[in-house]
Amino acid sequence: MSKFTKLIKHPVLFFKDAINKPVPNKPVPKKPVPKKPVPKKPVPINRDEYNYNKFELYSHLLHTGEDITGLSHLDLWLPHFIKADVNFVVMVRNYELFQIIVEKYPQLTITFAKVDKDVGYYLDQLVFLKACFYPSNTGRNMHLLKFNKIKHIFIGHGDSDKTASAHKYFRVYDENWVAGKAHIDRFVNEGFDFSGLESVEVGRPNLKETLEISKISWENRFDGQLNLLYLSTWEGVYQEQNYTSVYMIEEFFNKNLIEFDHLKIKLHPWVGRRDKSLENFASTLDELLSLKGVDYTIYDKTTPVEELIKQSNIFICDISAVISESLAANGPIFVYIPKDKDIKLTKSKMSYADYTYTFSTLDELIEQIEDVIINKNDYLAKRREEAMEYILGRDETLADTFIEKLKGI
Amino acid sequence: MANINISHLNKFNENSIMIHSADEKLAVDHIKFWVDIFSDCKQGFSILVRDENSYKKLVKEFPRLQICYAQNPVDVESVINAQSDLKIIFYTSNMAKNIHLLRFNHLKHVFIGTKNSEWLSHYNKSYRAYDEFWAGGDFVVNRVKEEIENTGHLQFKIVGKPQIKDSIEFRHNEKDSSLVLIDDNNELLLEQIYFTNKILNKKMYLYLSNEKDIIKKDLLNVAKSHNFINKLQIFRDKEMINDVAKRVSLIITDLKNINPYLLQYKVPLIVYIESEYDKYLINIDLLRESIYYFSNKNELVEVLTTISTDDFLKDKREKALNEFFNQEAISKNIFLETLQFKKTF
Repeated sequence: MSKFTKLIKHPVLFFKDAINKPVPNKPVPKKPVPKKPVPKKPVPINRDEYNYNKFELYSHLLHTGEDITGLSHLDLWLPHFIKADVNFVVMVRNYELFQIIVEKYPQLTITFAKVDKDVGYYLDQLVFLKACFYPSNTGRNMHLLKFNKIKHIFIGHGDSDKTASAHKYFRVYDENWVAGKAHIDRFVNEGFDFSGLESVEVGRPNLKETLEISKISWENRFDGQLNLLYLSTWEGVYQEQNYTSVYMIEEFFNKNLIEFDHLKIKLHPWVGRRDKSLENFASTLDELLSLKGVDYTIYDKTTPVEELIKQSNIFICDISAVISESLAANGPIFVYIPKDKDIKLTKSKMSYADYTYTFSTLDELIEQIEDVIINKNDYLAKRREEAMEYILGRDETLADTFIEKLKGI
Repeated sequence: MANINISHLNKFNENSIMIHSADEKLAVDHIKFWVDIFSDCKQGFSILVRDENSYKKLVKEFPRLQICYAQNPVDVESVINAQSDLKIIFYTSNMAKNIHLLRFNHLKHVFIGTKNSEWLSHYNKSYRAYDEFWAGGDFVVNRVKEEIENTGHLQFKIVGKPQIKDSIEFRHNEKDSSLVLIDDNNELLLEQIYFTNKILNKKMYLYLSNEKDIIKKDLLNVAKSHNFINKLQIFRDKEMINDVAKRVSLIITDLKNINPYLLQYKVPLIVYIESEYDKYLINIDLLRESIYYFSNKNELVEVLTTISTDDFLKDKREKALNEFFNQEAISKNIFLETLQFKKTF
């Protein structure tokens, strides 16, 4: 029955059907949906190499298990590895660091090994490797320590009385190359057996130039100018580890800069990381000093501290490795020792008070500066000389012992 | 979840001991291997794992134990600071993360390993970070000394494996009986072993996994028709292997199942090999030389007949057992004694 016949003969049915019959939707032409490009997952890079040739007879390997912080460790040692003219390869464990090092030292052989098996990949190839050198203690060092036939040597990246300087983990190495006797005494005084670890005094090659400069007395070094360098630490992970002097230094700079010809400031890059009130501390100092018309410079983390030390002859520091770095310049060092803190230090035979002027309050600092700088009573000068040998290994440094030892591997 | 969880530590704990496992996959197994032994020392102890899932599993299984989780070095320091009486850390595995604890000079660091680490691990210079290495026997001590020429300060203490004290001391040998531990996919081998036992009329205890019900049924039917049903016992509970092994007079196994722990039962070990060269797949000389071998039914019959009158490898087995698991140390509870002594140091 046609629709027309239905309408004529059965109009009720016609309309009923018309209502019930679903009206077909007109197909709406679909707009082509542009396919979202699926973001490609970056292929993780586990290994990379630069200037590397597996048939080369590499005898030395310098390893850092750190992330970007490893850059300063490598910067500290690479010039001396280069100077020693040994056939060495650098191994890093962070890809960003790898890229930086490749750009900075294009003449070197550099490898990147992400995990344990990647380390194995390279070390299995390096059949002529005699020694691995470690500037810091990281868990990743263990991936190389598995290779028993290679000598494992800790060379560190500074020297301080902090507890990290002497602990039981060091015993995994065959040798611990230290600057001077002080570091060996730190181990002795910690009271644990480290008889399997050979300590070798090699000096601090990066301080050689500073030690040369320091042959001229600090008073006469810059035509009698007084160049003050302030080196702070940060506020620490916990409040009880907060050894920084930044809280009082602002007041000191506000009142007591007349004596100094130039002021250099380098804050620890992590200042303000825990205590947010210190986040803009560098700007605060900048504002203060600019108003006072002082000749000053505030340096960021990219400036090597040893360069600043060479240009200075008076130092204010917090407890950290920079004390011994500053010691190389043989000028008065003022060290902040917080009074109310239980400071965990590994002790050598010389404490900070033996060769630096320690202070815990602003008044004490002002008093010490007045006595030592204004009244020219540098009564620790002789002890400082002793400390330079004992802590820094001055004679070994000047004799290029590190380089000789590298060559002797 | 946070990076640290110390909620299961007793608030006023006097823990002097902490067991540490940094293994991401095996921490639960490592801890389970040692937990009963440390519980026996009646001394407050805690457990620190570095993997969140392992922590959850352990807390679920041992809700009363003081189990902690810490991810980073700073978290580890917090765990240590929360236990002011802590004196010794026991390490079950030599992982990179152990460095987070090894830097604490005031603590004694003792490596105790895992169930099979003494023959499976590759020993290297990083073990020198520990103060002491507690060993099952001379076997591992010699291995470490060979691998690391200069072990320096590292003190070795032979403490045995207290976990096997029971099987070493209490035996009820059932004459002419064997425990058969083989890859149950090898039906041909199973058939050969069955017929050998039948010929020699030896009682046979067979471990078959749950999936092998058809084999079990077939074998029982055959045994029934051979009137051997009373001499064949099939079990599927893995936990029973130890109990059965303590009862039988010999163990028949294959290369897959061979392990120094089989020596603890002090019975002849008879191992199936396809060819003479397969012996050398057992890379521990001591173990390899303490074993009887067979490649077919006739050889097995011959071996079983011989050892019924002359178990000529008995002394070698005994020597190997002592090298792996010093029996005297186990019997005298040296592990626990040393632990008791340590708590007062």
